[in-house]
Amino acid sequence: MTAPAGAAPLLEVRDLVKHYRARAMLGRSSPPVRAVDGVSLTLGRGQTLGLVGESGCGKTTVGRTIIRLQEPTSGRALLDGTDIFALGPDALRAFRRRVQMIFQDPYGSLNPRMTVGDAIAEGMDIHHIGTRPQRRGRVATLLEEVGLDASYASRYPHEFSGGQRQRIGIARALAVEPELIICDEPVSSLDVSVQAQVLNLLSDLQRARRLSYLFIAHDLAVVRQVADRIAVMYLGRIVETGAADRVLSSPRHPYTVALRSAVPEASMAPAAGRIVLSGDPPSPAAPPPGCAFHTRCFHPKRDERCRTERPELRPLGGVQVACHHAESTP
Amino acid sequence: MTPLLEVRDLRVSFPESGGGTIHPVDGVSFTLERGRTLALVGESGCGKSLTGLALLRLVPSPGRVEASSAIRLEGKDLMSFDERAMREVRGGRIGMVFQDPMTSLNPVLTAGDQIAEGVRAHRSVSRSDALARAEALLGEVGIADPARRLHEYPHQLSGGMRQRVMISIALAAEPEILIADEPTTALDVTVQAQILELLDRLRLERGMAVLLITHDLGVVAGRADDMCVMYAGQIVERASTRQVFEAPAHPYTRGLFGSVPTIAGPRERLTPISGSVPPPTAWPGGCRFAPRCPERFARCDSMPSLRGAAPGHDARCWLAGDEA
Amino acid sequence: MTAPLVALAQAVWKRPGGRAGTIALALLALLALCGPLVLPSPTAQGDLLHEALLPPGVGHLLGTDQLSRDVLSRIVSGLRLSLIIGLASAFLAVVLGAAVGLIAGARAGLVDSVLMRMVDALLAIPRLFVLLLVLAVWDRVPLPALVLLLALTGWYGTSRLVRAETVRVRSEDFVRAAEALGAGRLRIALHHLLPNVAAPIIVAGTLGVGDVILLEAGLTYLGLGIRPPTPSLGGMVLDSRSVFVTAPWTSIFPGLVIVLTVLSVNLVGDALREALDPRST
Repeated sequence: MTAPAGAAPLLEVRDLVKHYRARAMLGRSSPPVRAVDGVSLTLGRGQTLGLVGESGCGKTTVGRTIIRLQEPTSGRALLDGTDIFALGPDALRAFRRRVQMIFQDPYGSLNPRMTVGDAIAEGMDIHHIGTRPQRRGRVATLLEEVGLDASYASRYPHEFSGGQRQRIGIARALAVEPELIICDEPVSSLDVSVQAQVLNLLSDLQRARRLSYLFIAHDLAVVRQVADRIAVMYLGRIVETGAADRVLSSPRHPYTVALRSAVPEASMAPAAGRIVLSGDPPSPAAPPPGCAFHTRCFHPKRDERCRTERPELRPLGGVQVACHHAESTP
Repeated sequence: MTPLLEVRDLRVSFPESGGGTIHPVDGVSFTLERGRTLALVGESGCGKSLTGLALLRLVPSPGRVEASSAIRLEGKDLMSFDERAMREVRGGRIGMVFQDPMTSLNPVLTAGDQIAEGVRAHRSVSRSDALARAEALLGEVGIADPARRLHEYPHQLSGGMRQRVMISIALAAEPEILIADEPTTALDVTVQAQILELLDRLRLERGMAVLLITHDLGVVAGRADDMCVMYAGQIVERASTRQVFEAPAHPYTRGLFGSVPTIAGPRERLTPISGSVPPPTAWPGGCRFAPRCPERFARCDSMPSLRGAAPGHDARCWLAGDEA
Repeated sequence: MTAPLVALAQAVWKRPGGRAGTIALALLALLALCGPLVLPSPTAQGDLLHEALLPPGVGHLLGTDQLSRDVLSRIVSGLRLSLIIGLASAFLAVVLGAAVGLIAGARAGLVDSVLMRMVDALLAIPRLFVLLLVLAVWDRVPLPALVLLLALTGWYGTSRLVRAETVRVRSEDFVRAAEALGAGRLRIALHHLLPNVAAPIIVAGTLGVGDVILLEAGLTYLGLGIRPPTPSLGGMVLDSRSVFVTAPWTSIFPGLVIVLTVLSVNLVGDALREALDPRST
C-alpha cells in the first residue's frame, strides 16, 4: 500500500512544537512541559504511518495538534499543501471533513445521552450533508460497513461492548468522508480477539476507501500489523523513522532497539538478548540536555557529544535516525 | 512431591439481578509448585482475576466461594479456615500484587509505611525494625536510593516504581506463593520488561510459586512454565507453556494465537475469533465456546470435560484426545 | 429523549422512598387541584358564635378556625399557593443557576473566574437575611415578586454544581469528537454538555422546591411574605398561636401538611439523585 514514488505526501508536518506553560506560583514560573519538541513527519495518500512511543512521549499531543483540537506552539502542518494552522474559521470547518479522529477509550468517546444513530449522523448534520432521510440511510449503511446491525441506530452506547463502541466511533468518523483518520490508540483498551477484529476492519476500510491513517500506539506489534512506515517517539522527539519492516528488523536508534527487544514475543523461540533499560524516563518538563535519550542509553559509543548536542534526524541506510552514533548501534 | 497449592473445583457464585445465581468461576482446578510460574490466561470476563481473589477468600460481596471448592495449601484446606487464620495466610503465606498500582496503593501513606504495615501484620516487630525491613525490600526490588523512597508518597513515584512498591508489600511477610494479577498491564513496555525480570529473579531467589494472571500471550511465553487458558469461567486448556504454544489443542486458544499481532515473522492478516464473549447470564448449556467455534459439531451441545489431548496436556473439547 | 425519561421514572418508582414520595405528592396535588371543587370556601365565615373553633367532625373535616372558616379548605388553598410558589421559584432558580454554571464551565478562563467569584460573593450573603430585609420593607409583596425574590436568592448552589459537572464532562473524549467533527460552541453546549449535566440540575430543582416551601411558610409565619386574607399554610400556623392549646387542630394540621409536602418532595429528590447516579445502573 505505498504511494508511487515522487507523489506529494497527503500530510506533511515540519518542526511541530507544543509546550505547555505550567502556571506561575507566587511569581516563580516553572519550566514549560515540552510535550512535543520538534516533530517532523510525512504521510502518503492511502498509507499508514505508525507513531510509536511510550506514555508521555507526546504522540497523542501530535495527533490532537494536527487535527487542531489543540493549537501548536510553533511549526507547520500541510494537508495537500494547505497550511493547517493558518486556516480561518470557514476553511477550518471544511478541513474537519477531510481529517477525522478515532479515540482510545470506547467508554468515553460516545455521548451517553445520544443514540448511536444521532452520534454517527452528527457530522453530516453539522456540514449539511444530505437530507434527513438520506442521512438515516447513510447511518444504516455505515453501521453495516463497520460490521454492526443497522437497527442499532436507535440504541444507546451503554448497550454495547467496548469493541462495538469502537466500531461506532469509526462509523462516526467515516460519515463525513474523510481522507485522513488519526487513530489515537484505537485498540489499546480492547481484548485481544476484539482488537484483531477492529484492526482487520481498519485495514479493510483503508483499502475500500483509500484512507490514510496516522496510527498512534504504544504497542509495537500492533503498529507493525497495520503500518507501512513507523516513526518512533521519545520525550517529544522523533528518534527514528522509516519503512516498518526496516525499522523493526534493523533498528538504528538505541531506543528503538530497546523498545523492540522489550516487546514480549508470543512464541517459544529463544528471546534474542533482551535489553532492559535502567531507570525511568525523564519528565517532559525537564528533558536532558543534548540527546534526550542519553541518560538511559546503552550505546557503547555514548559520549560528551550526546550530553551537549541534540542530534537531528538524518538519513542512514533507508531510514532516518536522530543519533550521533547510529552507524554503530549494536 | 505434594504441590504447594492444590485447587480443586473452585466455584464462585454471584446473585443475579433477576433472582438466580451465576458462576463467573465455574469449577476451576490447577496446582502450583514451588519455584514454578503458572500463568492463568484469558480475556476480560473469563474469571481469572476472580480466581486469584478467591484463593485468598477475598471475593467481594455479594459473591462467595462455594463450599464445594477445595483450596489446599500444603494439604490443609483453606475453605475450612476461619477469618483469623485466613488473615495469617494473606500476605504471610500467599501474597498478591494487583494490576493498577495507582489505585492499589494508599495515596496518603508513604511507601515505607505501607510496606511496614505488611511486615507488622504478620510479625510483631517495632515500627523502626519494620521500616528497616521495608528499606531492604525496596533495595531488593531494584529501587535506587531506597532510604529516600521510603518516605515518599505514591504520587511522587513513577508507575514502575509504584509497582515495585506493590511487590515489596506483597513480599513483606515472606510468602511462599505470589499471585500477580496483570502486574504489568498498566505499565510501559520497557518498564514491563523490568518488572517481569524482577518477578522472575525473586521467584528463583526465594523458591516461590507464582500465579501469573494475564491476558498477554507474549508475557506468558517468556515467563511461565505452565499455563491454563480460561474462557467463560472454565479452564479450557492446561499444559506446559511450550506444549500450548507449539500445539494449541483448544479452538479458543488457537483463535487467540490467530488474533495476536506478531513483531517478527511474516506479516499476515489476523484471524480473529468471530463474535464476542457471552456474559454469564447467556452461557449456553453445552460447550460455552461452541457459538463462536469454527469447528463445532453436534456433540458440542453437551459440555465437554477436560480431556487429555496429549500427555500432560488437557483441553475442554470433544475434538481433543482419542475419540471425537 | 423519552426513553431515558421513562427509565428514570421507573427507577424512582422502584425505590420505596421514591414511590412513597411520588404517591404522597400526587395525592397532595390532587387535593390542591380538586379540593376547591368540593370543599366549602376558604374565606367564608360562618356563624362566629356557634361555628368558630369547631373540632374536626362532619361538615368540617378538619374543624374551623377562630373566624369559623373551614380549616381543610384553607389548608387546600394554602397548599395550592405553596406548591405554585415552590415550583415556580425552584424552576426559575434552577434555570438561572444551570445557565450560569453551564456558561462558566463551558467557557472557562476569564468568564469562568468572573462568574464564579460573583457566585462566591453572593453565597456569602445569607439568604434569609436578604429575604427578611426586603420583605420587611416591602409591605404586601405581590406573588410574582415573591417568586422572583425567592428564585434570585436561591440559584447559587446549583450554579456551582453545574459548573463542576460541566467541567468534568468537557474533558471527555466525546466532546473532543464533536469538536473534531466541526461542532460549534453552542452545539456542544446544548447537545453534549447540557444532557450530561442534567442529573444534578434535576436533583437540585426537586430539592429546591422543598426548600422554598419551607422558606415561604417560615416567612409567612413571621408576618412577612403572603398576607391575610390570602390563605397560606404559614399564615395559618401564625394565626392559630393564641388558640393552640384550646384548638390545636388549627395549627397542627397546616403544620403537618407543610411537613408532609416537603418530606415527599425530598423523598422524590433523593430517589432521583440515586437513580441518576451513574454508578447505579
